[in-house]
Amino acid sequence: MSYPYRENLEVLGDTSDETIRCSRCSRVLCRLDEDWKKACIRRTFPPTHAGPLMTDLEGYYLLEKLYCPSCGALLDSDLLEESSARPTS
Amino acid sequence: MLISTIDPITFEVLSHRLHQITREMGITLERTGGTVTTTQQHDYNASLYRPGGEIMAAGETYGQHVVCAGFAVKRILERFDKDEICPDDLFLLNDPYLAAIHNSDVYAISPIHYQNELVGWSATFVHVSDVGAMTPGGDSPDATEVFQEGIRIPGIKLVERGRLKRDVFDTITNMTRQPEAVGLDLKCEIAANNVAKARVQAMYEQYGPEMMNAVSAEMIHYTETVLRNRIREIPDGSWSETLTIEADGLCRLKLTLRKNGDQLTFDFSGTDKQISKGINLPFHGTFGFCFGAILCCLAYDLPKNDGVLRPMTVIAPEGTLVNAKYPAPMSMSTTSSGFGVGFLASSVLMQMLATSEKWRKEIVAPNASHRNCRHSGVNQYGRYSPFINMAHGALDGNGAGISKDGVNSGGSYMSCPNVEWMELHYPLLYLFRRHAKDGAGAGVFRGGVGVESAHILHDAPEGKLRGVAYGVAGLRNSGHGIFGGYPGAPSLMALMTNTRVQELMEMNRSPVDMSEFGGSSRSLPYCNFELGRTDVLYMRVASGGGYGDPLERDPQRIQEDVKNGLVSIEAARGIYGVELDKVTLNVDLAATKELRKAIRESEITELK
Repeated sequence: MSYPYRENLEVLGDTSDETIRCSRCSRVLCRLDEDWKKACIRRTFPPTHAGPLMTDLEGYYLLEKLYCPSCGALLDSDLLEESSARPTS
Repeated sequence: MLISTIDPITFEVLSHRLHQITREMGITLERTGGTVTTTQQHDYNASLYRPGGEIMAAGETYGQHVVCAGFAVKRILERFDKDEICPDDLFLLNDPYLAAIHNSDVYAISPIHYQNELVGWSATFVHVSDVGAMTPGGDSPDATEVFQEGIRIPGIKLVERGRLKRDVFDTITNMTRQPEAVGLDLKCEIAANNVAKARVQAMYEQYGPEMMNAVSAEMIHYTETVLRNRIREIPDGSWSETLTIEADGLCRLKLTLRKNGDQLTFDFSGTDKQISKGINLPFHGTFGFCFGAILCCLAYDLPKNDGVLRPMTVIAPEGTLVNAKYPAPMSMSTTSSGFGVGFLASSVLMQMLATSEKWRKEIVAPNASHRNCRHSGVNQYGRYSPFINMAHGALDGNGAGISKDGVNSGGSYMSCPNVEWMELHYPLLYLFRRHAKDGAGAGVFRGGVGVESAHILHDAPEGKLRGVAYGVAGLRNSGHGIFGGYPGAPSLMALMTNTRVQELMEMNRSPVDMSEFGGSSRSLPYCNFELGRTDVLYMRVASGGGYGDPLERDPQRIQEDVKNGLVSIEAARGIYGVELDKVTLNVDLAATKELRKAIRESEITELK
């Protein structure tokens, strides 16, 4: 049995043993009670990666993107305070 | 589904008729109000309540005020004995420590009697143009306690047995900077409540008290039952979100939603303590904003009433930004922490909906709101007035949905007056008002584009206008992306001083390119400021966040965006990976496919 967890992620299994997996490539990321984001590949970019009007965020925020570690599907994007993230590009 | 013996058709007819009364109340406010805030921006509420204050029928305005006006009814019931609440009375209340959210929103509450029995209440609020606060217009960035934020009315009769209490009316209006406009707004509230009373009494006359009471109880039961069933269909779980507001340092709001069975618990534990600046929210305001979020995503098609409240619990630790202790200032609460709470509640609800195959189609990327500006000063006709600048809340870009783009300048709540109307009534000249190119959060479906505008003084007798900057101050005050979608461009308010704009106009050049303005620019935090003869006030409101991976957006949609001036050709290539011919703007599908593959591979390869 499976049900959606969010875009590109779904929950698989019965209630005693549920896992979160990528719905594009079926790669299991973690158990349902674990943080799926820890299983992702992370990359951070300058905020202007999201558009030229994001210049005011430079020096304060970075755009973090999370990918499926198997197929590279983009699973999440979020702005992180720069103190809590390290730029990789 | 119905618990009583009312036939379903009669139930539907009466339910809709009650809702229609709230709409007629709103139309009355719009047609008789004293300021643009009421007549064009529709910053008001109109609702009906049962005798004990439960929401019976809510108008099509703010969810938070529907709830808070219900609290206002309950405060009146506590404050006045039963024999003091008479037919044709009307009470005023604007105390944020009792039921209102900030002093500027003045609730007018009227008991509705039928054959001398209290059978219900009508309630309205309008955001009056002044309340005698330390800053004209009410929003007071320098206030450190509520005593500096204007008149605070705990419940007082403005109308007694159908007669206006002139002494009370004069006392209240004379404590404001604009007695005539405030007086007109109070009278429009009286008119709307009179309409409600007449219409409800006509229904009681036609159908009788037994039927009317049964219908209103049934409406609430129906909404609660359907909503609980909907919640039950969604898997249990918990979801969190945070928002940072910049005021006296960084102020963090945190919300965790726990869903268990048919119950939703909004837990704000972890939110920062209240501060000595008016962004603090009272508990009932927090409760009301959560109600509004549920209303929009799970109950938009149900009768809007107390049934929406019943499956929800709100935990807001006392002494925090979302449950401030007396006498913390609150004048800017609605458009700061209030909208922040609305954003958080929407965000966690959207995360919850994503776990349901049935409900995920309702997902929309939530918007963390925008900055606002209010001016005050003498206009071109020699009259002093505080006034809101253009209702920029009406011009936000909406968030993208699971199957559609966000609406450009779709707005988050109110309506917006046109530029010509503003220029006719106030000493301003708008240099431009347009969509902010490349503002939309990118995604498979992009966010709606927000609006940017710039204005200068024009025919201002004093050569200046006062301004106050409020709203959600912060760099993340825009639409947040969802499921890989990017955030929209943030809301921004900047004062440009010593510009060349007048000189450009004397040269018969239209000053629409900001790079030609010259001078210096500074962004405005929560503050008072002055707009002088050579200054320009630039405002950009938030654009909506995107949904899903921008590299998967249909290239034809990008082509349309570029043609419509919403996305630049550079962003089309760099963000969306779409190759367009620079002259014809035709899509090169083969090159686009290669470019997108290269972009993603460069990220993945580098990662590996």
